[in-house]
Amino acid sequence: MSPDHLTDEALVTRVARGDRGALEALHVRHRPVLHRVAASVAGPDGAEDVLQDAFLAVWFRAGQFDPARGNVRGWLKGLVRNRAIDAVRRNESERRRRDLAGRESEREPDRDPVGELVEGTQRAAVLRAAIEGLPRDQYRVLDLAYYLGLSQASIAQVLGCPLGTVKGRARLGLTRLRTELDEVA
Amino acid sequence: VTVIRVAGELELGQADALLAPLRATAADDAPVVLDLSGVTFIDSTGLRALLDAHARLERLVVAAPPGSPVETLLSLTGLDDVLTVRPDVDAALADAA
Repeated sequence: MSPDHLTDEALVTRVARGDRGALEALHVRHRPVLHRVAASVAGPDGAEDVLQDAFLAVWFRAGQFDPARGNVRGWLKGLVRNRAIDAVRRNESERRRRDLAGRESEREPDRDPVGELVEGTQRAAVLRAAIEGLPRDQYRVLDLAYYLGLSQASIAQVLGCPLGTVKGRARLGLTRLRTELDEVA
Repeated sequence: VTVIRVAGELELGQADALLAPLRATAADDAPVVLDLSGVTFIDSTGLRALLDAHARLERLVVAAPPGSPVETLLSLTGLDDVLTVRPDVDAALADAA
């Protein structure tokens, strides 16, 4: 006998014995209403996943169907509704987790913006003082380079000296600066 | 028009020396010609002082000959677009009046 002509209860009994054709027949018969149930809870995009999940449950749990507690359609609708609710909860939880993760990544742990600003300002002042303390020719090169953003060629033009001289002064100035700032640190 | 002449090296703390007479001048709203043709070097603090003066004064015209340290630096930093720079005091006076 073709499964299509069996009652819902008979199909569930066959599914419980491992009859894939019976599962398929149940699916075809109840899919429209079950899809509506799934979509009403999980939304149209999530409905198909919910149905697949629900029919997987039917395949493994058909033996648990109890005709005394209601008909097959009611049982299937209950399975689908519960799975749809689970799916919504999972999605919601995942969304919250992603939001939280997003906020956490934006907020660096133990960040102290005011402290960082003060520290940055202090560092800038220490650096400026160290640069101003360099021999005058080295100071000029580094001031023009780092506070006015001039290239070494432009600095050579401003100072009226060869490019090699500017490079040499920059090198000497930076070496000296490094030593002095290491001592400060 | 008030003409202020600054010469020598305009760097480090000397920028304050530039600002002092400019602050006094700013009070009476007169146009100022700042003659920097005798400046042999100007650093970032000197340029900052110039910009500060530019912001405070009603009208500021800088006199700096082409190729001079001040004119070269103003040109390289693009500040010659911000400040009014003329090649000599006469041209600056004509502009300021």
